[in-house]
Amino acid sequence: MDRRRFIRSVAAGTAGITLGTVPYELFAHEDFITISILHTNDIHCHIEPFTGTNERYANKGGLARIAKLATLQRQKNPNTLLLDAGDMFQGTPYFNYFKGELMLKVMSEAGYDASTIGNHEFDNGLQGIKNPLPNAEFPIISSNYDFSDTILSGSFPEYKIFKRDGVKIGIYGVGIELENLVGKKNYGDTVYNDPLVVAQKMESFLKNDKKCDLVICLSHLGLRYRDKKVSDLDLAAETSFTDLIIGGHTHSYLEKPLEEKNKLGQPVIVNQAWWGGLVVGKVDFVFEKSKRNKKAVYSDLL
Amino acid sequence: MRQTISYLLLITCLLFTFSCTTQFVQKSYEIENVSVSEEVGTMDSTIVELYTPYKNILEKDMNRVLAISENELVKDKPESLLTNFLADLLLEQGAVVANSQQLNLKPAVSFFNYGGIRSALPKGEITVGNIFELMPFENELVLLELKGDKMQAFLDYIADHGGGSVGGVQMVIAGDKATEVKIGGEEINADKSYWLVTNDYVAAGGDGLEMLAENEQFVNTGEKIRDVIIDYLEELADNNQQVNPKLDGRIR
Repeated sequence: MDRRRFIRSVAAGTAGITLGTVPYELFAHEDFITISILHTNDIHCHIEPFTGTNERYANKGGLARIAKLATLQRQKNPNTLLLDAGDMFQGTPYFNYFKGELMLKVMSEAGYDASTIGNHEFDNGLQGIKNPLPNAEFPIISSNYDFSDTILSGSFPEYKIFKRDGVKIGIYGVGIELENLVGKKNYGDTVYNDPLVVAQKMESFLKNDKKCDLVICLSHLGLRYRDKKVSDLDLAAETSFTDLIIGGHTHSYLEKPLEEKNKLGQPVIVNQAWWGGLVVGKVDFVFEKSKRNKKAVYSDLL
Repeated sequence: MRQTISYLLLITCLLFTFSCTTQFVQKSYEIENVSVSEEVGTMDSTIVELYTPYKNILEKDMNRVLAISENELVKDKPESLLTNFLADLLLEQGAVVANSQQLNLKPAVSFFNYGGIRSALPKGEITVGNIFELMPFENELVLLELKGDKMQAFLDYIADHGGGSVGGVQMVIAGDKATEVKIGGEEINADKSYWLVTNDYVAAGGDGLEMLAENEQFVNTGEKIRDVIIDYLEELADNNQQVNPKLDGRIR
């Protein structure tokens, strides 16, 4: 059976969107490459699972368990990225006692590939970010905060491109407005730029200039709001080249990731993984090595 | 023949160039949110090894005794040993913090949101761990200046909720209103302004406390409520005093 047709028919057979329970190994032929994204947000220093006496989350969650899940996933598919959408800091005594140091050490050991800046990262001020930062062996990506006039100038890349089996994955990051959310003395001269404008600039740069095959946004804006505050769903509707928005801040529990339409009417996945390491989001993108077909094949799938 | 070969070469080169720029096409995706529970797997042993020394330090400090309490302190309404203890502590510490930050003000009323008091305090030794259980949130101490009518509206809210953790005030609940209100021993004056010390969570107008958002002035001291409690208890012990709050009929 022709492989391309096979995938199409599978896709059509599952409401034209997901591949259902077909294991990725089926596509592990040299013509097909699966990029697996594992993601978390708002871990809030929940390094260990919640204690057994916790009323709601007894023995659930925790980075120590997520690290194990990530290791197993990497054994299954080496083309795996482990990402986080911010608010790593604050929430357990591990933060009160060791500031960000232990959290960033544990995230590095767990093999995080990238994270972004949440509002709670500012809880001990700019110095409170700068001090533990050498413990992070992964980039903390921030595209819309301008730290130029602060002690953190140059600490955070605007974007990062990962290459996995030839597939280029471009990642940018957007953070929430700090005014009225974070004390002025804690964010100092950090400048907040409009995340929608920045996202459009970054995604075009990554897709068109850098020729990324996959564009991911790490966002700490929040999933949705009743008022006009900019959210991940706004971002999804206003962007054109972003394939996946990994969100945080609103601690949203989603049964499964959301499939939205972008500005061009094409699909964009928006997800959030609750908080405290209670959920890990998992998105597998299947790519085909192509020599002729220049167009993305969303139209085949929908 | 030669021409054919060179054409083939050219085409190959073109194909090569072309395939370099359009190598990958996204065919499909699969999405899933995985619940992280015991069933999905064990903890990573390297991570456990990494945090264990930190955990040991933490646990040692969590077991540190801050002060001794003569009674078990449990929260209740309209007043209780725990709600009175916390409110009086906050009123005192609010003044200390305001003084150390040279704010030139003294809070007249204090308020802890009832839902934010997460556990009881034991009779006997009170440890750092007990305070983390009591106050797991990272709330900060804030000071609000309220006009007399807003202060009355706030106390009506307390009355409507059957009492709570307030200091500096005496009042009688009559239906859903606070009556016979005295602040610092004096009758409440609608034209006067009063400073209220509380946490940043309620100061933002949460929990139906919109009147607190309608303040004259607002100061976020940046001091964590939990730290303020710990400081207070340490000082008590340093002065050879015990925790011994009383019921005084502040809310009847």
